[in-house]
Amino acid sequence: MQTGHRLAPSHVPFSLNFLLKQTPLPSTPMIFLSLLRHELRLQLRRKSEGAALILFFLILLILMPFALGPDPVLLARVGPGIVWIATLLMALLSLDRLFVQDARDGSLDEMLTAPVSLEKIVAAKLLAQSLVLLGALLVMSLPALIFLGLKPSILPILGIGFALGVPSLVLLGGLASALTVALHRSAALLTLLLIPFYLPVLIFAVSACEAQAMGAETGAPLLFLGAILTLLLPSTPFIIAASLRHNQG
Amino acid sequence: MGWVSFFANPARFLRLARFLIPLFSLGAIVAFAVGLYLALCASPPDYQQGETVRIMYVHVPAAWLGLGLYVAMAVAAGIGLVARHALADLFCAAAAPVGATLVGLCLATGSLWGKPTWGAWWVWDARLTSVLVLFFLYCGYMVLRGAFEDEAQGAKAGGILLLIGVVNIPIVKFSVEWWNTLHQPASLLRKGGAAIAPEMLHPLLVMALAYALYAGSMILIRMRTVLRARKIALRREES
Repeated sequence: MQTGHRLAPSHVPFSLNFLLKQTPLPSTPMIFLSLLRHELRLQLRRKSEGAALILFFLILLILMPFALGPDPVLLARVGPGIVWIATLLMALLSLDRLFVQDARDGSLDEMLTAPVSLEKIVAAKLLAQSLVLLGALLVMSLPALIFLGLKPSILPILGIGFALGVPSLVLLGGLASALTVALHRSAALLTLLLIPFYLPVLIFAVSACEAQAMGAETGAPLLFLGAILTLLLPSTPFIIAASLRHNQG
Repeated sequence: MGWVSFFANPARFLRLARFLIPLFSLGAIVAFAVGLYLALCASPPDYQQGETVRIMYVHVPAAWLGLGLYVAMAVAAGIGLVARHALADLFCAAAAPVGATLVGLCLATGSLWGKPTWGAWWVWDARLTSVLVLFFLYCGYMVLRGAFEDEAQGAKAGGILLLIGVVNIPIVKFSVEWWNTLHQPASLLRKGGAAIAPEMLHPLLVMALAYALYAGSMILIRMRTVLRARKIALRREES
């Protein structure tokens, strides 16, 4: 360990000291909760990055009326699709916060050698990332509603879609960024890898909104979104942990 | 797992390749000659689509092989990750451009076939979209594997990606049954036997054989080239 080296407060490397002080080690759920709290605190500390992500989302929404024309009927019809594309791109941009920064500042090595299973740490990180993205979307749904002239009746469907879809986006994104963490410049590669896997989420989320707009049954597409999430939830933390271990050689 | 390690010996592979490459290449030439004659000259035009049905003989085998090669690569990637097979990753790397070309050919000929029969070069239906996704999976694999400086790392990352991408395979296969698509449903592997006239089925099968032999010889040649390049690099280091 380097001594006398001070790190900027926004880049506190991952450290399990806060857990290890307690002997004996706390029970599994308690460990997970501490990890989650730790990750959330780290996420919320990177304020300027978070603000940049939120502004990116907002700017995408504002660009659309210029590209498509300000016709309110058209905007209301394509609005949910625009919101979802902006969400998708925001999720893609936020991937840098998952493992790339950890690899850069050495936290990843700490995670790999930690006395807590890597899968647990990964799951906590993914959950924290999903919660932060969902929080940002909650804040942004009002401007989206106003700028795109969406009907308030679409909000519940959009909200359920976010709650089921955004964690899937984060889980898939975690997979791709774990695979590419050893490469330093990987933004374009990440996009190429992820878009095929993001497509089903986008399709079902938008078709739920469309069904609602036409007064049809919204259950089926939302159930598909839930099915995607239930498929990913138990498997991805393990695959991510395995590929993080592999990538470290 | 004995049979897995049996083929892991590069020297044994090279001996086998020396025998198989000419066999597959000659076979492909003969099968293409026979298949193209049967498909373009000897088979009847369709009663609905007329002469455009002949695109099928190029389109369908490309789709089969493109899909099949992906499955083969995923199986090889699984073996490579679990058993640390020396040639499994080599196979994946060699097969990826061949598979991508075949899927690209399938998309291109499908587009050419779509214009006269459906009136559009492209429609966003489930079969077309899932095959497009397959094409991107091939591209993503090739870019990901090539992006690593350390080849072993690239092989691992690429292998994991190949295994994850397998979810798309059943979607491609069953997209025509699960959704109402413009693309016609399967007419060969279906309940109640093949729904295709024998005089069209036979050229199709010969063409499929030709594609398979061609892909096999290409993959073997590409694998052999990499093995030889490695050997040359080793000799250079020694001297």
